[in-house]
Amino acid sequence: MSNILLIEDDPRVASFISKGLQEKAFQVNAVANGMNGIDEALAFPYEIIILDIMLPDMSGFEVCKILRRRKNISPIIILSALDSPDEKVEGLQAGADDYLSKPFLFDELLARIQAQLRRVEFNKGIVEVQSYGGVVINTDEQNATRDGQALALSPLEYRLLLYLMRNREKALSRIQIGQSVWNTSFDTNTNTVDVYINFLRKKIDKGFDQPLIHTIKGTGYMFKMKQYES
Amino acid sequence: MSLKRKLVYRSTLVFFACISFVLIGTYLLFHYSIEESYRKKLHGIAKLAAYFYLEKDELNATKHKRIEREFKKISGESVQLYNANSKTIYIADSLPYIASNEVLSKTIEEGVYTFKQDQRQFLSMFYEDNEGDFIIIVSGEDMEGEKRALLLVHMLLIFGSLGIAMQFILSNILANKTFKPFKNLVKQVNSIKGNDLDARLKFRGKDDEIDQLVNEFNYLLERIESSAMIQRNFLRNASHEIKTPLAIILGDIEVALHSARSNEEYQALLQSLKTNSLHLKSVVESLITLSNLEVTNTKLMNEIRIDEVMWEILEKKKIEYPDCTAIVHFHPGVEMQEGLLTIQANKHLVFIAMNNIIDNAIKFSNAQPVKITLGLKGEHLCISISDEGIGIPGDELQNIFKLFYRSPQNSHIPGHGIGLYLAKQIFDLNNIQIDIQPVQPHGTTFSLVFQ
Repeated sequence: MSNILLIEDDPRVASFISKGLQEKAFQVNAVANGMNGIDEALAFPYEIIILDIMLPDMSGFEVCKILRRRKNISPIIILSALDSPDEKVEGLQAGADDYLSKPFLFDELLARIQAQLRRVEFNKGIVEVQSYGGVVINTDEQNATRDGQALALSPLEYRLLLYLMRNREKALSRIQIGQSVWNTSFDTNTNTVDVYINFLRKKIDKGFDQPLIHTIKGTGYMFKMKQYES
Repeated sequence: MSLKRKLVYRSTLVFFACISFVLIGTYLLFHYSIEESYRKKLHGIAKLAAYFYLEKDELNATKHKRIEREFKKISGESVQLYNANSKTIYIADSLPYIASNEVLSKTIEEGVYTFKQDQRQFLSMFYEDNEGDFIIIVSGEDMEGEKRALLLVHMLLIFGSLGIAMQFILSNILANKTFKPFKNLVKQVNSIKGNDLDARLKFRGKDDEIDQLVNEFNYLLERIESSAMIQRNFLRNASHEIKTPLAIILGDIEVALHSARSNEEYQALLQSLKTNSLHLKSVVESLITLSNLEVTNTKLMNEIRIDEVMWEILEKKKIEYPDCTAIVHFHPGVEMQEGLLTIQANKHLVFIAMNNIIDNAIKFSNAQPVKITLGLKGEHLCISISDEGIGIPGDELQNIFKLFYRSPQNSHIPGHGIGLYLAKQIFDLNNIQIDIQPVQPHGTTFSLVFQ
């Protein structure tokens, strides 16, 4: 069971979020202003913090900055009635991990909470796979290098690389890759996985002697340092 | 100062400048010719004096008598005789003037030398005679000429002023005539009130600048009228779109509250409330985006990966429609050129626009998978989104991008007629071309070409 801190001053919004999350087996603690929110967040290690921007005593951005300065690393999802790209950017720069504008679908909030929790789990698990075959992944900054050279990866390519690193030296089918890396309903009849493997290959293998991504005929792909012998 | 006044003053000023130039020129020419003719007269007198004083011995008596008579007639001009060798005066008269050495040497050099001192004109002539060389200096004031010149100046001034006055009056009349239609125009424009935008200005049927102006003004009025109409319709349509789901929500709740219901009925009611609230949300969000399109800096473009935008949308769709599927396929051309997927666009807006297209496809696809193909059209990336729905009849194709347009045959599918209009506006702003093709046997393909 995950603990969630909800910092939201509107009791109606706080009420339905708490109710909904509790029904999904989350432990929710709701506070109505920024000060209490900060105290609460620093006193107890919450798995997720849901933060409204317009609070009576301070803005959500400030709460976010203060928490990050005090080395609180819980994922923060910002909720806001304003839906402008600038505000989104400001929120993310203040240290938030995700941004959702009101009105939102409760299911979407749930999906994003789960995504954040997954990421935390993921980051815990992959400490040992962050470096392999000259490829180094920095999960904090979400970027990667090979032999010290920065790789310009799109977010999806990054996720794909992370998945391959985690499951290195294993034969992976297209369906496995597709279902793990893509958060969409995945159709097996398309070439999407091949296309992105191809994109990734161009970035991490091109210009290097030792290829890391190998095609396994009839099965899929394998991420491995040594040449795959078929 | 009115334009008319300006025209009169300026044309008068121009006329004044021209006429002054001509009159001054005339005067200078006249003055020169008077001086010239007086000089000729002085030359004649000098010759006469030479004959009279120096050629007495050469001429017979009668001839010399005649010359003497002529010479005696001279009045007003002074005649002086100088010895050219000693440069001293030989025969003087009452004029208190002695020629300088310089004048005398100049005369010896040039033969005839003229100069002026104050109003007095001098002509000095070198004359070689058997008794020695002489210089004759004749001088006088051209009273007659001066008088005539003065008369001319008076005439020129009088006629010049008269001309300028006449020009002023005439150009006033001309300006009045020229500006009369403008005056009428201003009167007509003034009579148009804020609410009768259907009024138009009258043509004079002369095909001149004023009619062109009338034409342009009428065109402007037309555009203002049509945009005012759009504004009026917009408010009406927008409030209709907001009120309808609100009415359903309120109605559902009121009916439900009349008596106790079973759990299943409450479930159904809540489901309906959710649907209508979502619809309301979508209307409000679209309207806000639409109004933001006009005020915010939509030109703010960045390099974005369009495939990332697409995957983000598909992730969102999976939450909204858990049962839907989208089949994404890459054509070989795109697979080889990853660079094609990077475009210059406003990500926030393109997300909204593409989301509207994909959302439509899912809604109209009859629970069939939506096909998304990334291919090439010429050198450009082309993303096609196809559904297997009922398709769009040919006569409606031109309407589907209009604001608040809804196809009559789709009234059972929730929608508000803003999405496609909004998408089209955004795609236009981001240099993305959108086309529609029917899919056989049924369905529709929207293709986005990224230029």
